[in-house]
Amino acid sequence: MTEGTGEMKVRQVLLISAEPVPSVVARVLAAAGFAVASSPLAAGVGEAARESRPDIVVLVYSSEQRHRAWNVLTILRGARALRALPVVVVTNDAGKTHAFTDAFARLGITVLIGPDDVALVSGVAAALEP
Amino acid sequence: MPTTQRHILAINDSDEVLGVFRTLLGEEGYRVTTQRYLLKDMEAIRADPPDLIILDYMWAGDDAGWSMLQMLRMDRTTGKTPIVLCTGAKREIEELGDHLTQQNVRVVLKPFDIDELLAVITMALGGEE
Repeated sequence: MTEGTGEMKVRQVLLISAEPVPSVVARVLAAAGFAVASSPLAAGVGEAARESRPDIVVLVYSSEQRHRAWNVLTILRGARALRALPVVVVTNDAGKTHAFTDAFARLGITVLIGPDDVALVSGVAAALEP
Repeated sequence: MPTTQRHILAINDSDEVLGVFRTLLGEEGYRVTTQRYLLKDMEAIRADPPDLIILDYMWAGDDAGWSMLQMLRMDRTTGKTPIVLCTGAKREIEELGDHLTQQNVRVVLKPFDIDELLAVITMALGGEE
């Protein structure tokens, strides 16, 4: 909340996904009032995160994209400038990802397995809470 | 008395991840060289032997990572070099138990916490002295 003006600050989301843009996740978050910038699940995500200065990163991946997703997470947590940035992982890859839930929580990474629209928005909003 | 700069070799399949190691470890005062592990360039490694190797091993079934580990352990130059295995193969690594430790291989799960990685590297290098 911006003091004195009564205006709510629009939270900036960097959406990293292999899905074509605009994606379902991007539409849901935009409809919920987030400003969404998208980046492909490919090289350059570190630079995209540093340049766009988001409030949060939402990383969407399927089980087939797990290797690339883990590299993205390694980049986001291995760079001092990005390590405190909240990250929400959205995936259908329940088995492998679930095993990392506790480890991810210690790294400030929230896991959402196959969320519906409501769970997605509330999960992202919760991850933004200090 | 000046301290000898320790040399760390990072091996990974992603240039961007290698960049993370280069920046992070360079800031900590290490000399960092990198290699894409699909190259398996043992000649280059023998020419500039590292004090420690960070090796990526993503998942069980990642033949490139496992075979690179074996090559490093079977080579006279790197057979005893401390290795830090950065891996997402959590369950598989747990099943290996003490075997990796006996091979002077330490494990850091990916994605890693910076402080944890640096502490593991410090311990691995301290064990040499």
